[in-house]
Amino acid sequence: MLQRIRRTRLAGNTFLLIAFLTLLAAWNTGTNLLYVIAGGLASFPIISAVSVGWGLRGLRVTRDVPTAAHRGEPVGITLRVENHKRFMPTFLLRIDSRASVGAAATFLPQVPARRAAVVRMSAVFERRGVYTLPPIELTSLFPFGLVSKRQTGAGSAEIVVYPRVRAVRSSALAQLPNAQAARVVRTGDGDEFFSLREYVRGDDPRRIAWRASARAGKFLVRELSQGASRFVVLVLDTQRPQAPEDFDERFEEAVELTASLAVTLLNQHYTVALATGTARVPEGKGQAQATRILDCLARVQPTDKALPDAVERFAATHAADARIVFLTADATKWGGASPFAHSRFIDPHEVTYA
Amino acid sequence: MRNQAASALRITSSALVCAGYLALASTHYYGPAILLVPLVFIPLSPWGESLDRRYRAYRRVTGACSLVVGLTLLALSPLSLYTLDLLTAITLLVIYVQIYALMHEKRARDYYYLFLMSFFLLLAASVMSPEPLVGVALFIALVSGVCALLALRIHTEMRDTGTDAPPDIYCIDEGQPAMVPEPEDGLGTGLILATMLICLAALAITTGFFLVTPRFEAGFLGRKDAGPLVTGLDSVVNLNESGLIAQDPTPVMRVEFPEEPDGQYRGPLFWRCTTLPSYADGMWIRRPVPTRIDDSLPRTMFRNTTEPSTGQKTIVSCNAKGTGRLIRQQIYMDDVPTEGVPALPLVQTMRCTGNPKGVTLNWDMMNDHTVLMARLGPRRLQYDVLSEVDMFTPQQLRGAPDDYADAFGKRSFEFLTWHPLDEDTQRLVRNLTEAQPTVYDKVMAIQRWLGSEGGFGYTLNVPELDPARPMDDFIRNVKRGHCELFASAMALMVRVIGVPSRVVTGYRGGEWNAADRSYLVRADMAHLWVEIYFLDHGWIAFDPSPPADDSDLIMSRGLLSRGEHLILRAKMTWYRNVVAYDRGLQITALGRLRRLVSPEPREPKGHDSKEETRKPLFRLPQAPAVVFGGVLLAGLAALVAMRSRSRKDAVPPHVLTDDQARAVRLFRGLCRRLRRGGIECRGQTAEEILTQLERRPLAEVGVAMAVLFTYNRVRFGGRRLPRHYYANLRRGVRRFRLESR
Repeated sequence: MLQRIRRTRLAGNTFLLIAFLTLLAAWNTGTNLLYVIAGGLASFPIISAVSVGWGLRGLRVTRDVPTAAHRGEPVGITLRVENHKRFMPTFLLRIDSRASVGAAATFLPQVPARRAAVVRMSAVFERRGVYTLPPIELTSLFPFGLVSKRQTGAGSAEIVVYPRVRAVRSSALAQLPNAQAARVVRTGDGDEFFSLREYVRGDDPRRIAWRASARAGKFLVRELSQGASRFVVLVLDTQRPQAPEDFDERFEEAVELTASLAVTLLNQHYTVALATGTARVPEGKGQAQATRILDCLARVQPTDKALPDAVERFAATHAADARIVFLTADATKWGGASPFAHSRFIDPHEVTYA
Repeated sequence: MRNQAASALRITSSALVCAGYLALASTHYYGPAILLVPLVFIPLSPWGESLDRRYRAYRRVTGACSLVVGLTLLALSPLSLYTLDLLTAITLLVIYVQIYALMHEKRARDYYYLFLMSFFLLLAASVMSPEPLVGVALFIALVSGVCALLALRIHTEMRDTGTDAPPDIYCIDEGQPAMVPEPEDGLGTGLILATMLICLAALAITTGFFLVTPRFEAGFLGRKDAGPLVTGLDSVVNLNESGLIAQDPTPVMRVEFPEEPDGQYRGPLFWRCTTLPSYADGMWIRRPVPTRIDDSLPRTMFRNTTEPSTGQKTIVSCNAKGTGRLIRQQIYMDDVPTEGVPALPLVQTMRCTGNPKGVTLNWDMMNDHTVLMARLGPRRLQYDVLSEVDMFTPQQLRGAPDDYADAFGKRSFEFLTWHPLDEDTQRLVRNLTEAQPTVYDKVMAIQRWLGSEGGFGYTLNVPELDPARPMDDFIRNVKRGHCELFASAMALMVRVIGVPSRVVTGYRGGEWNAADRSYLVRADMAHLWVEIYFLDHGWIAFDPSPPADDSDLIMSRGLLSRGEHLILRAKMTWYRNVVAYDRGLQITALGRLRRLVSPEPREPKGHDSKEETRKPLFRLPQAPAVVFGGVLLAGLAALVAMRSRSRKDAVPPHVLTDDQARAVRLFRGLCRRLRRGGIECRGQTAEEILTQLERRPLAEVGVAMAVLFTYNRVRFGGRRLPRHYYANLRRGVRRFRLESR
């Protein structure tokens, strides 16, 4: 519901007070020039009070916010203010988005009649999660800012902030824990040509197929295989240890590592599934799967409970043809055995980013 | 855009600061020299801001200066509170605060302080009886205040929100969707127009507030007992008051001499209001003389006559003595004194002209040729006077007898010769006059002594006199004062030698205006002089006041140019309608407004009615308002036209090749035919129209599609359009018909 609030600001109250005192002085002394000065002073808040609301009429505000963004990366937010009045422009419009993270307010000196003003703002979300951007507030300060009128514009919007994703080196993928029953892709070791695919950041430049790349006009790499599995299940341990020093920091790093691994593998046409203490993403490929995994990772929070049996069962169902990768924020478990046989927790220090 | 706002803020705040000093410059106390303050410090302001930003020591230095200024105002120095009055000291302090703010970096709060200081300077000037130039200062203050507050708001919001560049503006009209933003317009023509409208609204509200706000009796919240002394008439002359008398330059009277050559009167300009014959306790008051005066002169018959056309008593007349020249005057007064209607002495006939409604003229009962006016509402009067001005020569006056005992009744004689001077002063008077043979010579000796020989000086800074014997103190010791002291001294000194005397209150002098052929009399020309009785001749006027050394009372015969004449008229209008605006004027103006809105119906012709048909009085201001409004609108339109033309010139026009122009003509012709067939073409691209045509059978729309394809290739693809192909397509478009569905 549209809400309009008119408020007299401190400067406006001061003007009225001084005008009243001047009028008293004029009455007491009978000096006509003091009436002129009092009238001049009184005209400012009067004009402010009368004209402040005109600017907000006929305005429509829309906010274009991406549904998702990555942590730490600037997000472009576009505000479009349309003035549907036939003749009268809107002046001195302050727009407060109160995103609580950057891009707090912007100011439009003028929005002409039958025109739209488009403002592009940038916001940076320092933490992942789901953010609800509150409704836009339009404040008219025309003409002197002595009286302001506020109106609620576009409704709230939601944006999901994914964890930061960084490309993981191909060699780092090779260092992932080996499942005995699973077949592993060893890049560069195999002699069986698997496919040509587009180069992604992190691939070994020696595997670029130059002639194919020249023909295609873009870099292509040879994907060799020893007939190994291209199915990876990432399991993120969300249990909070009992003495959590710097746990939140390491948890975020673990989530970032999980996301980076998932996206890198998916870019390399792997099939990736995700299981956390509270959610599961079935296996899938491609960009859509990456979105699902990132969405899940954006919302995951540490818990006090250990990995539930359901996760183990989920992992076990794919053990035959998938490689199970365990990640945790608990430094005491790094490099150690995982609940699942033939698997261990990844030590983040072993993983290098491109 | 932020630079634009900062520049606008700097310019408008400078104008507002200057307005305050312009108001001070319009007062006699400060004068134009005060304008040096803004002229010096405003250009230095950017340098001061730069120093404040760079060097921390700058603030320490200016802080030390502030301390020095504060001590100067508090300590015993020529500029301290002990020597200056409170208003002047506070004004100096405000000026310093404003200079301090100008010379330092300013935030929003500092700008508000600047504006507040300017407002205070306007207030200070308003209570110091400024010249009409203060009206210009108020106007500039109002307009620049509007612009400055607006610019401050824009500048502050831009800085707080970090807005630098203007947003992209797109048209949202239906049928004209804009995919590209319109050219940048900075702060916008619209904002400038809106600012001008706000200025007009502020002026209208200020004017309406001034006109409509009810006036009350001054001092209802309390007042000081000793108000400031100003020049002007009073019904009682109190010689015990001291202090600085402020000169009030308000014009009070305008006089024409229609029967004099060139309209100029060569005689002395003494505008007599009334006489004050009785002296007691340091005051001259108007008390009736007990009995007859001087049977040697013919008896004067004073008559009040009713004006035949109006039935009102607006004519007074008396028989002429036959000893002087009759001088006709046409006088207009804004506020006729209650003491008496001024005119050249002695009034023979006075008739109210102009609008005599509610006016009554009467001779005063004392029969000293004082005319009193009674009127409901404002005491404005336009009147015709015929005065008999005596021109006795010194020889004639020397021939006057000096035996007053038989000419007056005893009580009258004692009344008109009573004085409180002590023995020493009397001895002084006798020493001055004993060598003179005649009354006239004795009087002239006294006048000379007071005027030049006695070491007397004229000043409006009236000294404090001994309350027990003020005139003795003035005559023997102080010897400096204003006209009241000189006239009183002469009148009392003349009484010492047994000659009847009295003081006369009125105005002396006038400013001659050749373009207008009139004299202008101001309030600061109020004067007191002496009338001394000469047997066989009557009351003769003498003026003992020496020439003023710090006043400009004396009549000026300089010729004013036409421009100065216009300025004079503007000044009179200012004083009449603003400074002197009172309840009476308010009631009159509201009455006129009521008549303007609902004029009384005219009576049909031939109807036997004594009342004249009334016409709305307040018709004239509409014409100037219309002219002014028309000029303003024309100016706005010219400004908008100039801006749009410059914007158009700034954007280079897009030139089409001949082939492209032909393709566009084909496209437009086709669109006209398609619209008749129900195809929506306005604002649509060729591809969008093709999409609509695809629903129709190809046989119907083949030509249209060919034209659209060709249009795209030629207009946007750079292809050629051979003439024969163009001719074929044009024929096809002319024959093209599409049935609407």
